[in-house]
Amino acid sequence: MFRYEKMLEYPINIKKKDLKMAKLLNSQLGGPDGELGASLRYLCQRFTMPDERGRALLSDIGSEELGHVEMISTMVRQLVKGASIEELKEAGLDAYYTSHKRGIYPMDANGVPFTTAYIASTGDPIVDLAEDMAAEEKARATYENLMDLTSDPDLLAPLSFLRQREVVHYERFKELLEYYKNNKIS
Amino acid sequence: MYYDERENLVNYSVKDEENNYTEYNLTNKNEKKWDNDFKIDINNININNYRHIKRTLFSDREGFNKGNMIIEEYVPYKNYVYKVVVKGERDELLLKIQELTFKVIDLNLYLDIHPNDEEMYKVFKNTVQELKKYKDMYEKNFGPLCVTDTLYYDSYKWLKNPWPWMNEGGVNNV
Repeated sequence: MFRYEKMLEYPINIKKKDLKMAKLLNSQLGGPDGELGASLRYLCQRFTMPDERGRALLSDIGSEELGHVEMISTMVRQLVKGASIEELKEAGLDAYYTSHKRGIYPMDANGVPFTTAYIASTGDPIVDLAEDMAAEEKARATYENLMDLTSDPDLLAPLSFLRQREVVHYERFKELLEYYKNNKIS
Repeated sequence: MYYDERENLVNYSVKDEENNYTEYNLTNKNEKKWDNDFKIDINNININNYRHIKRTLFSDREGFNKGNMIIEEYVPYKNYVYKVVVKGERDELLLKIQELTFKVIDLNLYLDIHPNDEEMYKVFKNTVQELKKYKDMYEKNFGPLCVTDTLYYDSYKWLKNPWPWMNEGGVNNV
């Protein structure tokens, strides 16, 4: 069961409107290495984890990723809020406006809608954990690319926080995979 | 003669008889020259045990700003480090709650893999206790964080603004 807490994992406080960055940030919402995919990936895979450690870790990281979905959505919303039609057109968001106005919709930076084809859940814990480690590293790289594309500290702070979380998750998945391999659990 | 369990298909004794100069033949990879000349089985080394024997924690605030509580595992990108600064009693209290919640989340993940680390469990338990105290204080003064935080009120307050994404011009920290 899930219960909502009425706060973000890390505060987001964007003062400057930036439609270009809003468009790009979508890649971490509904893109191939985005937070929504991460959350679904772990919350599906946890059902076939072979021991308590795996069940606990995938449940906990999957839940944290849901909080990251909320953070990215908040960033996109705050960046888009109050933009005029002209500004949206100029930033290449006119197609977005046609379907979603100034709302939130999980898609990547090019407007490709989110698909579960981005995730894998094979039922084999060794395969799944290897996939999870790769996913965390891809997300980390995407955050670094996004950080290269902006100079606004209000954006850089939460992006650097989220990037560091990928580092931690990678470390935990790696420890679990090593534990399973060393103890021949699968 | 040497016997290696992992390479027991190779018959060393026969080889020794055939060639008396194997000791000087550097290209012969199956030959061991000294007792400490052993092969490392990379798949069976737990690298984590060597790399992170000791785990030390950042302070609550620093760990929250960095996104990682464990000093040895922190990997920065281009030296980007940010500090969250807030104004006002309500936002300061909320930031304190966010910091402690973050510490609980990070230690939670660590303890999932290292459930027998008693020292870390003590830190985890103390943090949860402290968090409970601050959440109670927030609930009493500024409204519920969970829908069940309702014991201090006579009316239904859960739906009240601001919701976490409503941060107009950066007034609220939520």
